[in-house]
Amino acid sequence: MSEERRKILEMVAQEKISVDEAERLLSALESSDSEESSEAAPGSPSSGFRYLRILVEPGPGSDTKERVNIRVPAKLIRAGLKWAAFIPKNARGQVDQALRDKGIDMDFDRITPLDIEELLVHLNDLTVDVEGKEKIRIFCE
Amino acid sequence: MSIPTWMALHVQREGRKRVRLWIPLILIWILLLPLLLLAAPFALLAAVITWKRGPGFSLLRFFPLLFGVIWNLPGLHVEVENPRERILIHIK
Repeated sequence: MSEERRKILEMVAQEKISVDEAERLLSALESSDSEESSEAAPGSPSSGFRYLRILVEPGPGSDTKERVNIRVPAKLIRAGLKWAAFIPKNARGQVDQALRDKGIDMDFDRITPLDIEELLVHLNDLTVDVEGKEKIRIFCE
Repeated sequence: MSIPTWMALHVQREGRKRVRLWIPLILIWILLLPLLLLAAPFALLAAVITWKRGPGFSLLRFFPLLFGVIWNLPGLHVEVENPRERILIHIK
């Protein structure tokens, strides 16, 4: 059993994620495994979602009345994350330190693709209301 | 996913003429490919020279990572609008 699978099952056992979420993570893991061993079939989604959507709608108190509609292919996010390998080690240390100063204890080097999958699964449908000015909705489709 | 072929760029500003561009990205790839092929031996040489101390292997990863991003661009859609202006970028 791979380390990632064990981690997912442990999260289910600790009731950190539901069985459905675990199933999605496992299928995402299987897809990424098969993608690494052989190129994935064109157009086939590598997990439960194909796009990350970010919508910003103006609220009643909005001054700018700005609307934003962003659709990012999930595969592009994964491909972009691989560029993190090019960030110099000393810069990663600075990022970690800056986050720590803001009260976020995070090790940049330890972020794995599985962590990102997990984050996106939990982001499945998130709505943030910014003081009645803007409504930001982030979801996967 | 496949290589992106078209990019739509629409810009609309209050009091100005609306710009609607369809950019054939395939032409850019045709121009860019020989440059990348020319750069490949230099990247390989730089990777060998800096293998022990320096970027080394990371330089070899640059090309597959770049293609990975380019190949997955189709479907990207960015649209920002307010009462005075609207900007749209869509990659097919």
